[in-house]
Order: sequence, then C-alpha cells, then structure tokens
Amino acid sequence: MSINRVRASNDMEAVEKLISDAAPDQITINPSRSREIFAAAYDEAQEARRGGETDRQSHRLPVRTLVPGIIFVGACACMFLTASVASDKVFDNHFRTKSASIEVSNSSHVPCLSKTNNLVSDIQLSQTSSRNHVAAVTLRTKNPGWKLPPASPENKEMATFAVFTTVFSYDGASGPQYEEESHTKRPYMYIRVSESVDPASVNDKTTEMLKGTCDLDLRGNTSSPECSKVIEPYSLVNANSFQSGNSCASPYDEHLSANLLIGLPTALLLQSTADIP
Amino acid sequence: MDTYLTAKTYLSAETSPEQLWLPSARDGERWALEEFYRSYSSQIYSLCYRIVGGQDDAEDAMQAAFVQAFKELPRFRGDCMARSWLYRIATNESINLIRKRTKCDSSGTEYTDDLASVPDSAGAVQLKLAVRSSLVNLKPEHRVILVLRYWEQLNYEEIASVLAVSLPCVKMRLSRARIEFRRLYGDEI
Repeated sequence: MSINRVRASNDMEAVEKLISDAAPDQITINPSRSREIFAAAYDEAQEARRGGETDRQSHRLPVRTLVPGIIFVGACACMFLTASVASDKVFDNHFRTKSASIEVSNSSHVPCLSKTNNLVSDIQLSQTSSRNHVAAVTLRTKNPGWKLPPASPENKEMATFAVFTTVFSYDGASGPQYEEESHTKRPYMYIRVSESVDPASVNDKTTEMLKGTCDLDLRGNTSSPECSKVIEPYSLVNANSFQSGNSCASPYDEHLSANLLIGLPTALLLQSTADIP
Repeated sequence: MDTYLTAKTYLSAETSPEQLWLPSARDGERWALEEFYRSYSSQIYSLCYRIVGGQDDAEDAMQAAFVQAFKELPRFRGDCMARSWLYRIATNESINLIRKRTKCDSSGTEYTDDLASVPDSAGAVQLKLAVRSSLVNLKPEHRVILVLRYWEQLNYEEIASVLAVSLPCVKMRLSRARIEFRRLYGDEI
C-alpha cells in the first residue's frame, strides 16, 4: 500500500483496507490456561458475592439501634422547626424595619441612572413573607403607569442557599415587560430596572408607588456577570446613591437602566431555608 | 399441561442456548457460568488480544472481564445482547490494562505473536508491523474503535452498543481515529 495513497486526505478506503489487512490471525488460548482463567474468575466472583452479602448483613441495623436514632432525629427536627418559626419573625421584622440597600451598577450595558432624571426616586421593601420567600419591592417613581410584573410562578421552587434574582424591565412606550430571569449564588436580591422613555413623558407632578414581588430562591445557579457588583449584607446604601458616580453624557439618548442591588443578610437567608417546602 | 408447555418452550426453535443457562448464571450456578464462559471465551480472548496486543496481557484482561461479568450478571437486565454487554466489559478492562501498561512500561512488543507463523513475504510482514505499531501508538480509545470496526468487523450500531455511546459519536471517533492513524502510519513508514 502506497504511503502517498494513504496520506491522501480523501482516501479513507485505503486506510481501512490497510488496517483490515493487518488484522492478527485468530489467536487461540491454551485450553488448560483457559480452564485456569475460568476457575480463577469464578472463585474471585464468588468471593466478591459472598463479601457483598456479608457487607449488606453487617450494615443492617438492629431495631434497638434504630429507635434511639429515630427519637434523636425527631428531636432535632422539632428544634429546627422551632428555630425556623423564630427566624421567620426576624426575617419579617428585618424587611419591615430596614430600609433597602440600593446601589447602581456600572456594568457597560447598564450605563447609569441619575437622580436628575427622576425616573426612580426611591425604593424600599414594603412587605415580606418569609413563609413563601416573597419580598415585595416598592419603587417610587415619577413616571406614571409603571408597574412591576408579578413574580413568576416557576420561581417558587426552592433549594439551598442562594437568592433568586429577578430582572424586571420597564418600557415607557409599551408598558412593563418581564424581561428575563437569572440566578445567582450570591445572597442578594437583584433587580434590574431598565427604561427607554421619552423624557417628555415623565411627569414631575405625578408620583406613583410601584409595587411588585420578587421571589427569593435559595437555589444556587449560574451567576450573571451583571451581578458582579454586590454590596455587603447590612452595608446599607441610601436610595440617594442613585446619583452617585454615574456620568451619563446623555441619559435620555440611550436605553436607560439601572441595577438595583438589594442586600439581604446571609444569615437570615440561611435560617429561612427551614421554610423551603 | 404445564409440563407440556414447559417442554414445548424448551424445545422451541426460538429458544437460544443463552436463555437456557442465563437465569442460572445470574444466580451464580457454576455449570451455567461455565456455559457462559465456554460460549464467549474464545471471542473475548481474541478481542482482548487485538486491543492489548499481547497474549499475556490478553489473558489478564480476559480474566478481569469475566470476573467483572460474573459479578455483574445478576444485574444484567438483558437490554442488549449478552455478547455486546460482555464486549463492553472486555473493552473497558483492556483499555484499563493499556493505560496501566503505558504508565509502567512502554516497550512495544505488541501484536507479534502471530507473525512468525504467517507465510507472508518480508514486505508484507513489515507492512503489518508498521500498521500494528501505529495502532499501538494511538490513544486507547482510538485503538479500540479501529479494532472493533476493522478487526472485529462490528457495524456502527454494534460499536455504539459496546462503547455505550451514540451513533454520531462512533462516526466522529472513528473519523478521528483514522486521521490519527494515518498520521502515525506516515511517521512509521
């Protein structure tokens, strides 16, 4: 077989024939050796089976061992539930009494939100329920007709130790839209408010409370790059931070948006996992 | 009546010998395992030899494969042919052995057992040696798929079943193996 032919890129048949022709002849095993192999394999397999049965038997727990174990687990569960009820109150009180932490993200596609535009002037957590892990967010704005979309039902699924992040989108022309969802492992509620609106439509004399709900999902998932900027638990930032550090050359010329990161204390989130259905 | 049906079933032409001993083999009965071994040992030995390339290693791989098979038989549900199932085990054991040998010893003495007895010309022997040497230097996965396809003459579906991969994966892996083989064979020549 010519090596040039084999090297030819499309001549796979040559390669196939080359390999096929080089197949070793049928090699037969020595019968006595074959019997030895069977005996050895049989013995080893039988030994493994016996070992497996012994292991299974040794792992059977007698009733007298199980009963105290069940009692112990039951006692732990009771304590855990009691603690979780207490933590519910802490959780509720926290959100009722603390003002929200707000910070504006400087990620590239979310350029800025300046207080000068008065689109969003305030944000606070108005009510919470740790029972179903819903925190309601109130946004105060001067743009009438904005409404937060309801929390989506699929957000109800809860797991462990992360906060669901909901992204809300507001479009001044077409009305509110539920834009997308993402998850983050960080214990922060993450809300993105984006707005594309003609400045003329902003009525300074109108102030409307916008209410909406965000689920707190304790499931860890992919972290969005938009969530890269976070604030520490309890390092509360005043709502006035909307105006901080953002330099929009022309805030109304482009898609105007802001990331509002609401810090939630990690400890409370961990406690609240007791309520996961 | 029951006896008649049982006998009829037993004598049915559709009843394969495998169905006769397989249930007992699952229970670990020696006679059934012997039947199982007798049915497949020569095929498995040949397969192991073709993958690992040496008689001693082939015997080791075969023994490991049958130990594994005897242990796993109770869990064998019969979703695929017993032959495919056993081929899969033998292939995995052979690959394990190749990897182990590659770590410990890289002496290339594979595939020479049959060459002395073959009445080929010196050129033909040289060609075979070059091909086999190229195969030895392939990645184990590529070597295995070429052996299954061209030496064991399995079709794509059978290879997919043995390797527990999808059909497109078989085609892709085969294509890559041929390309790598061609490159190594070029170096060899």
